[in-house]
Amino acid sequence: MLGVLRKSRKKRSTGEFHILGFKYTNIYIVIQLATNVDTFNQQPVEGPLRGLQVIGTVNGKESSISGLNLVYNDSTDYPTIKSGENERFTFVLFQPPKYKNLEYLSIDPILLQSAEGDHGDYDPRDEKLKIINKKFNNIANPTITENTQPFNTEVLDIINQCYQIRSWYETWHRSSNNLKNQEHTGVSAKTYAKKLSRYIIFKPLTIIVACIQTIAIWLIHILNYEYGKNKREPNSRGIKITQFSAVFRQLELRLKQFNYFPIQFLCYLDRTLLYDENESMNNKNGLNKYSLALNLPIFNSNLNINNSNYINFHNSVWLIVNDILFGMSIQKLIFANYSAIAKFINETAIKKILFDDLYALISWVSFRHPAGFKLNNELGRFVGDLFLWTLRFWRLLCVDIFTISEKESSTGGWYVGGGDLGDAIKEIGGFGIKGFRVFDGKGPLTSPLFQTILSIICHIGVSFLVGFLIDYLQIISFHIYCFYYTSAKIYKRQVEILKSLFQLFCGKKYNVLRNRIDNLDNYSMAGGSGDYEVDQLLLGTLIFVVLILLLPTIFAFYLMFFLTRLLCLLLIYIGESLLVIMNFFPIFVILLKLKNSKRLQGGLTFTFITSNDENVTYLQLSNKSLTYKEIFKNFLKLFRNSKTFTLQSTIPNFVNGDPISLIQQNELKFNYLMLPRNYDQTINAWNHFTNTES
Amino acid sequence: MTSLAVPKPRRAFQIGSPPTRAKSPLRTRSPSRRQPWKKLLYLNQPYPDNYTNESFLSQLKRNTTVVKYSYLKLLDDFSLIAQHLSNLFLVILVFIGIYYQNWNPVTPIVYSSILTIFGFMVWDANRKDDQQHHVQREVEEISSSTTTYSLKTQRSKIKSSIILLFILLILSPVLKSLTKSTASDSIWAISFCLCIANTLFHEYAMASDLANCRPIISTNISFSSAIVLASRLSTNISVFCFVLFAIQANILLPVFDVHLRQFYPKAYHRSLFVATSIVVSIMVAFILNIKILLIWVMGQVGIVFVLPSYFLFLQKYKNELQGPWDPAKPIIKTT
Repeated sequence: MLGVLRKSRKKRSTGEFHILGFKYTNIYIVIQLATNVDTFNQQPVEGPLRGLQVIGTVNGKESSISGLNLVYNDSTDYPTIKSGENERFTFVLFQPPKYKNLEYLSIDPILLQSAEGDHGDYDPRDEKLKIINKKFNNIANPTITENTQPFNTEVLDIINQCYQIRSWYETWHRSSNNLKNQEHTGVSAKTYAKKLSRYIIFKPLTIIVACIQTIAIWLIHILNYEYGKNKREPNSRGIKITQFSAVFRQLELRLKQFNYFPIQFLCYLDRTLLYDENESMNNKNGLNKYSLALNLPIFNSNLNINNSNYINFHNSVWLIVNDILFGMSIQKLIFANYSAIAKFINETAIKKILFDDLYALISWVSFRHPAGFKLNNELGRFVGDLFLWTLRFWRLLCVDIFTISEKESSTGGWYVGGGDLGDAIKEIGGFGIKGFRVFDGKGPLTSPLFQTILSIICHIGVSFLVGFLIDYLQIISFHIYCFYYTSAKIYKRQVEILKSLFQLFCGKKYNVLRNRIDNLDNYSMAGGSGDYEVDQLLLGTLIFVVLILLLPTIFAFYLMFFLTRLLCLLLIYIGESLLVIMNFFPIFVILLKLKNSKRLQGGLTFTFITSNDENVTYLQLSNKSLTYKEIFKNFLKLFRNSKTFTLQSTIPNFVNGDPISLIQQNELKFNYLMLPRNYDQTINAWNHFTNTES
Repeated sequence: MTSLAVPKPRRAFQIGSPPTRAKSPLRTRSPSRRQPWKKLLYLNQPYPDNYTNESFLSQLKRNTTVVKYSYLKLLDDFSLIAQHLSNLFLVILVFIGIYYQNWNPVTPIVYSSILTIFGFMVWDANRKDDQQHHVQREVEEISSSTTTYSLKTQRSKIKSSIILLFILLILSPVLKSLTKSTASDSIWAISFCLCIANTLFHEYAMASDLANCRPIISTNISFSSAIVLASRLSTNISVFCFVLFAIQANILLPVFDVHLRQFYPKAYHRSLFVATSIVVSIMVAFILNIKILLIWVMGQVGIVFVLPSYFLFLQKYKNELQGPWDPAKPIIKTT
């Protein structure tokens, strides 16, 4: 027999109480001690308190009452049992979780973020309950093999609702004592004030938020528009702007976050927004139609939703605030050293590294026997000249466009004063009139407008600045991409030709019909029966020998451009990693763990306190908070998978001549934040509110 | 082709034959219960596991498939090796002539081309005869179609060789510059390796299955060796001429030789062999020196005359065992 008991703060060594609580087959759950339970006995209990009953007494004189008869001794802190000497008791003491502070006991670890393929890891609930009960049995009565199954969801629910039940009981108790009238007027006054405040504050607020949401949705629509999509074929895919630009990818993420924030916020105020408790029987996850319309990637079930929404919401807000603060300080830094930075980018990065050094490298490979390897002079010179000519042309075109102005603009930027916005608008107008001044030697980035844009970007957040840098790097290294792509294509073709000609060289032939390689031992002079003729053989060998002797030259070019491209990709990879850290680092969760780890539910633990004799054991039931490993598990998964650029795929690609690239997996990020897939449905949540409140 | 029953196997047979009346000690102890031993693994016999009856090797035969070679026939066979070597050497000599002694590259090609055209005509005429035989044999079914077919193939043959010629001509500047930045030594090394590979992969079959005696790998190797050598030459015309000569000497000449062996008396083939040997020897004498000529001639004689006798000498060490059992063959999985 087990008593699940709340830990009492005061020692009730004297006085006589009745115990209110719930009783199951072999479990007593003690909720409240009461002196007077007469009303309880008169009226049947209805509503949320159904099942609450008198289950025993403390220090009761008459032992005739069935149920618990507890006695407090002076010697011990814990109650002992009075009746039933032959039965075993286990007292499980617990701090009633403060449900309003989002503390509760749960066997499921809280789901904060999701990574795809998470569902497989989760055991079904019953399995977990079994594990918990086993743990309990191990600690409570290790000697006895008898297995009791005290914990199920019902018991846990009652434990979690402990405070609520107490307050409900208080009100019920008072109302049954005919205090109704006075209470009633107070309540109505309160509701009236609530209604008033709703009309004055909340109505305009909701309208503003809804407007922002609409704008955000439209912007996301624009960002996700697929250009060049063939409308007749539904499966054809166009080109999205977010596929190329890190800034716009970042923008999309932010907009989606802002779009979902109101829902997230309201959801932990009012569960019914997304989770319909009435339908939880029919629907597996207990979703209502709004959340179905939103098409959320993953669902928390039952109690966890409020807390995880709360944590996620605050984590995101915190990161965004951090982002903006960092951005502002970095903007100050940039503008303090503006001319040095601009000079570095113009002179060192663009002119020196991207053009002069690359020029020297290409001419080294093509003319000067790179690293002592004797390549074919004629082919090397030819291919090298092609690349060098392209590079010179690209430099003519680009150095003017992509260098940024080194002169600090007189207005300085946005941060100086309020009047700068007007200047910016003026400049935008002027820019529009003058158009692209590429061939004056002044590109769009040299205009003072650039600095304004830069400071705006910094004010939106440092992540946007990083995104901008990634984009900038991709644009100014576009020629490297082209060179790499071209040389990879040439190399790939040559290797393919060599492969098939090697079959011929060895006297083999690919059989199309049987999909295998046939052995041909002899050639024919008469041209019969599918064998090679001698002239075909000679031509094939001629080409084979020529190509195999030219392969090192082509490979040298390919290797050079591969390495430069890899370098660029590594820089971009580092930038993307920074972005992931800035956008998704679980900082709020870590702080929560340090501050109040009860709010990070990772399961249940039992600790053994004492046992005064053989029949009675005392255990402490408490929450096991999430470990750091569990907190970071999904984050690391996201960190690794959101940008696939692994060596395993790079090396075979390099050998085969297939182009390498970073693969962005945007969906993974949205899944991680559990953002809804149908982002344009968020507006409808307001309808839900107006419906329920009217 | 006569298989000899040499005396040795017979003796082996006698050794193996069961001395049935000889009694083993086991048998003497329990003569009544013992059944005679049988060479059957699946029977449960009352003998120890390591028991070996004397009749165990009774069916062993030795050297049943040994062929007795005649020295003259072996001479013919070994002369093929010498001929292949002299073909290879011919090409190398021409290369040395063009590269070191500044020969006019057109001169050897003119001679060889005249010979090639002559050889082609002989080959073609004979092939037509052969096809007419063929037609007569397979009476009227395809008579009309085959004659046109042969004409067509003859024309296409000439056309494709002209195309190959022009491609060679076009590519000769490319070939010329192919290994310009590489040192000559490494080219000689590559060429030497390719020549060795060529001699190893070549098909030295005298009479058996002559129609299918055109190995692809050795052809390819000899041609690529010629290309690698040609890439060292300095002018386009010399590159072209040398590659063409190499094709004629190393690829077309063996084909023609096979043809001679197939359809003509052996004297023709022998005279061709002697002619090439003499040409090569003269060229060695002129281009290189007498010492190398001596080594070369001694090598040729050694291959043609000494090696066959050594081969015959080795025959007596042959020891082949055969019996009613299946010989174990190692199975190497290729998949």
